[in-house]
Parts: sequence; structure tokens; C-alpha cells
Amino acid sequence: MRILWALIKKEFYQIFRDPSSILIAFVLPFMLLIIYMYGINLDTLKINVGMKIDDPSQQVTTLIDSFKSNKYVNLKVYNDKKKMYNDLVGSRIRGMIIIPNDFSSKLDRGETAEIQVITDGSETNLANYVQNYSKTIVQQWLMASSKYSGESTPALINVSSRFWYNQEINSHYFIVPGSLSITMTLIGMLLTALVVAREWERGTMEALLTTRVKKIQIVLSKYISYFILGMASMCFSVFLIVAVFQIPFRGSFTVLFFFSALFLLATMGQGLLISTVLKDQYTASQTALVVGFLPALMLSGLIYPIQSMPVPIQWICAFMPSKYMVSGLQSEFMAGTVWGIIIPNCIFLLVLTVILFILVYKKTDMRMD
Amino acid sequence: MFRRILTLIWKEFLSIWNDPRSRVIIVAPPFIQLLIFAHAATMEVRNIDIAVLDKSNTVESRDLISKFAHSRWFKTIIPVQNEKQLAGLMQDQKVQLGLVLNTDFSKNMLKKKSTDVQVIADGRQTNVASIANGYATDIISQYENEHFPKKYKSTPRINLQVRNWFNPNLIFLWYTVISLVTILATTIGLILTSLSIAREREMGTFDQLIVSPLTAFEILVGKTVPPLLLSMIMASVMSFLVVHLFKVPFVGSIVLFYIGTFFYLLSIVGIGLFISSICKTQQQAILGAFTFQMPAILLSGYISPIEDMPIFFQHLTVINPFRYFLVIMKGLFLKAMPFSDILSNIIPLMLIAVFTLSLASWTFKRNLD
Repeated sequence: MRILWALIKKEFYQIFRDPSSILIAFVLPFMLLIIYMYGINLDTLKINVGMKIDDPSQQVTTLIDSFKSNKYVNLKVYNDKKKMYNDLVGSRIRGMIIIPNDFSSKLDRGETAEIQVITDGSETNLANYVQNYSKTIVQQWLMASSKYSGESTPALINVSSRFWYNQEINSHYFIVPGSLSITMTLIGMLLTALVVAREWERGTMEALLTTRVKKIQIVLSKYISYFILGMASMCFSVFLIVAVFQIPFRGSFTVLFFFSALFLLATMGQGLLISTVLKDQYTASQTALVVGFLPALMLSGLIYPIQSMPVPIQWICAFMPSKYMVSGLQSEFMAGTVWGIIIPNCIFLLVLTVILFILVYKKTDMRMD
Repeated sequence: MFRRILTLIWKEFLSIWNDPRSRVIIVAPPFIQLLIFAHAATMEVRNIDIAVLDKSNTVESRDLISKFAHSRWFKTIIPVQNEKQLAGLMQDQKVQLGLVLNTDFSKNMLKKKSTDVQVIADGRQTNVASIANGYATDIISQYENEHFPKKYKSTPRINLQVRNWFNPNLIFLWYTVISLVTILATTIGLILTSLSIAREREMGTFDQLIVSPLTAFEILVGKTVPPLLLSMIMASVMSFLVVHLFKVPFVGSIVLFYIGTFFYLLSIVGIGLFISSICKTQQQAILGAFTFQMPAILLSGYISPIEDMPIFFQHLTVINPFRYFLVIMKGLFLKAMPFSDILSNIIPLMLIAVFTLSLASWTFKRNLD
């Protein structure tokens, strides 16, 4: 026990003497949270749209006004069609709306008038937004305009849409808590991927092996010290999310704590396994990055919905601890503790943690070969 | 002087290439990731599972439900008996959408009286929720128009003619794979360079370099060329795959592609070397690389467009090389972007490259003295 304590103390000295561990545990999460909170948005995007009007009538000005007053559209009116095309090609606008010269005369005659909407398909997601925004704005304008609204009968079916757990469908409510899984993966996997390899590379492992230290003590000291660092960082992030960014939290902090602890242990197992097997920081860090971190980011369901992916890839996702972390975090923050999600996710993480721990233990060499 | 630089370049190249593990870790994962992430990283919402509470249980209501079953967006339809069951399925994320039809559904419809239909979406995944809700609303109004068409008296209508340029069918995969090539090439270039000096410093071989007749400038050139070459080769091979495997068109100029890629990767290598020159250990270097790369990708317009960000972040993206390269890549692959637009995106890259490389050589020299 005394030896273990001494080893943990040694790890902590190493952590505190290298400013980069503090950077990754506290500064980077803070930076990322700010970016996720203010820099990123997954819905109701504001986009630049160009417009060219060939019909100078009074009616059209009210239509332009409704485009201009829409808070999701930055409208830029062009006189020169060529210039608008160039701006679309140069990615300065995402779409173009062209109102032909017979627009109001056709409406006046009760015919179907046409509006051209051209989107930049190379920005596939934004192209959809251009379509939807222009469709909605034109419809609303038509309904509201006293001249054209006519006597259209209301629809028979009233669709009342409800969004549970997040009424105003604010994407920050799910992406900001979800980003916790990214910072914890960073600490859990990237830092620990370096830690054992470093000892081998610098030869300090040899020094350790000549002492009476047991294998289990080496493994545990790595686990415990980085676990404490990771959990401290987690608590710091949760404090920022709940107290500073005012993201609603409906679950229980105790459940969140234990759940995140399991996740952290699972990712630490991955990192330590990489480090123990490769024994070289250069390859270990790259492996952690490409095998661990990037998949954890892309296949966790945080940004890209898993159920939309092809089935083979869904299977790969099923082995990503971050997938379980993201769904658990989102439920805990937005819906309160949902045992139907927390329990299976915990079981998965626990099994993974145990398997990885055994592997790390088995792979830890006590000999200099 | 050239001989000396060439020898150093060769040595650098060998140190990356001679270790079979490092060779595998550099070459294999980007391709595997390109293949997997290409299908995973989609904002499209498919395979939606929906719980249906049909209290009316009539021919009409079953008709409406079968419309959902035949839609290509929905996968499984789970009939439920009561609200509680529906809430349970929603809570455990077994379904993404719920549909509730009232007892008076077909009675009212046949009498041409309005009726309520509830669509409930899981707000924990806002993107999925709002898109799935949109699909559901479309299906319901389609159903109404087919089965209970309204009689239009010549009410004016507007027809939106939508065209998507550069990607007529809005294939999301095109957008994804082009962005992925840029992300993966960035990762390779950044990691290789940021680790290079730090690694030699930690291993002690850096002192050997310093006592050699090489000047600081020569060492820096020797450190720049191999990662630049390697990541350019990777970018070309991945782009080749994008065109021939994923069938994404490449309509721009190959020469501009190489000029753009060269300056982009040069700026990335400059950033990597700068990070490396201020770091003492590999841990600091890799974490430093991360602290740059994560925000750079998030604030590039890849996830949400730059015009949607707060002004502060918009200004910050001016120094983000990733932002310019995304425009160049999409412009060359899909839009045949003209030289002037490409140039206006290459110039910032040149400036960033010159700045970071000179900063790197300055800190590097200062450290030598």
C-alpha cells in the first residue's frame, strides 16, 4: 500500500510538472466548451443568400422585405446576375433566389407564378437550408399578403409537433454536454497512451523494475492518478456547463459522476493498452489518435446520428465507449435519469473496463527484453 | 549546402519510414477511416423508428400509417396500446418519433371537420428531431391531399423551381468525403511535424543535430520537406480514391489542386514545427497539435457555416488555414472554381505559412543559442 501511494505521488509530480497535462485537462475543455456553446450550431443556421429581382412591382417589395426581415437569412440583393453567379461559385453566398419579371402579373391573373431557387450543392447541408427557408418564407408571404391570400381552406389535419426533453430544440443542450465525452476521451486515451511508453522510452521503467514494486502496483498507480486528473477535469467541465453556460441539467449528479467514471476507466484501459503494447510514444500517440480518438469523435452519435448509418458501421459504433457515453450524457442532462439507458450503458462500459484492465495487466512486462 | 539538406531530408524520411509500425500507422488508418467515416459522417436522417398510437383504428388511420411504412425515411413502425408505452419507448431511445391519432380521426376527416394529429420527437437529438418531424408533417399533408383534396378556386400559387448546382441530387457523400480528405491530410501533416523536433529532443538525438555542421535553417528545411511530401502523397492518393471509388466528380484544375494543397500543407507543417519548437516533450507536442486542430476543424465552416458564428469567431477564422482549404477543395472538386477565387484563398494560406515557418525558425534559433 505504501509503495502504491508512493507511485501515485510520483505520477502526480509528473502530471503537475508538465504544463501540458493541465492544459489538456482544464484549458482545452474550457476552450472547446466555448466553441461548442457559441461557435457551433446544428439547426436554424444563419446563411448568406443572394437575390435578383426582375419584377419591379409593389407586391415584390413586400416579398423582399419578408426575406430581409427573416433572422436566418442574410439577404444580398444583386443587380447583376453574373456577379451573383460568381459569388455562388466563390462560396460567398449559399444560394440564389431569382424572381422573374412576370411574377406579379401572373399572380394577379390567378395563375401559378414561378420563383427560381438555385443552391450551392457543394454545401449539401446548407443547400437544404436554402430550399427550406425560401419555401417557408414564400408560403408565409403568400398567406399574409392581403391581395393573394384568397379563401384557401385550412388543412383538415392539424399536426401538433412536440419535442420532448428539449421543447425549443436548442442544439446546444445536447452538443455541449456531449462534448464532455470528447474531452474525457482526450484525457483518458491520449494522456494514458503516452504514460507507459514514456517510462520505457526514457528508461525509467528499468529503474522501477529493479525495485520491489509489483506489477499490479504499477498498473494501479497509472490508473488511479490519471483517473483523478480525468474526474477533476470532468467536474470542472460540468460546473462550467451547468453554472456558467446555464445548460439545463435534469438528472442526478451522483449518477452522472459514476457513469462518467466508468467511461473514463474504459477509455483509460484503451490508452494504457496501446501504451503498454507499443512502448514507444511516437507510435502510441498516433495510434491513440487514429484508432481511438477520431473514431470516438465521428462514431459516437454526437454530431452524426448513428441510426442513419449503414448497418455494418452501426456495428462498429456499438464497440465505441463514447457512443454509450454520449447517449447517457444526453439523457442525464435533458431527460433526467433514464435507467433504461443508464443501466445497459453502464454494463457495457463495466465489461469493457474489466476486459481492458485484464489485458493491460497481462501485457505489462516486468522484464527487459 | 544542398547535399547536407538532402542528407537530412533522407534521414528524416527514413526515421518515419524505416520503422514498420510507424509506416503502418501513417498509411493504413487514413484509408480505413476514409472508407468508414465516408458512410458514417452524414447529416441525413434515415432509418427512423416510430411508435404509433392509433386510437382510431380505422381504414383511414391505417392508410395514413402505411404511408409512413412505405416512406424511405422510416424503418420500423411499432404499434403501441397506450401513451405510457409510447413514453417508455421514447425515453429509452428505442424510437425517435411518436405518432398519436385520436379516436375521432376518421370520423372527423369524413365529415370534413378538422382533427388533431400529434407528432412527438425526441429533442435529445435536435437535428434528428427536427428533420424527422419535417418528414412526418410532409407525409401527413401528402396523405390529406391525396385522400381529401381541397377544391381550389383560382387562388394564386407560387411554384418554387429548385436547382442544386454542382451536386444536383444533393448527395451528402460528396460533401463528406471531400471534407474528410482535408481533415485526414491535416492530421498526418500536423502530427508528423509536431512530433519531429520534440521527439529528437526527448530522445537526446537533437544534440547530435546541433553539433553537426547544419545551420538552423537547414535543419528546419530538413524537418519540413519529408512530412510535407508524405502528406501531399496521402492527399493525392485519397483524392484519387474519392474520384474513382466514391465517384465524386473532379471538375477543377489539377494544377491548382496541387498548388492549393502545397500551400495548405506548408502552412500546416509551419504550425506543426512551431508547436514542436516550443515543446520539450512529445506529450506537449501532441497535445499542442490537438489544441490547434480541434478548434481549427470546428471553426472552419465544416460543421456550421462561418456566417452563422458570432462576430468574434468569424474574425478568428481569418487565421484558420483549414477554412481556406475547404473552400479550395470543394471549389476544385465540384465547382470548377476559377483561378481568381482560388487565388484569394491561397494568399491567406501563403501568409500563414510564411508567418508560422519564420516564427518556428525564430523560436528554434533562440532555443539553439
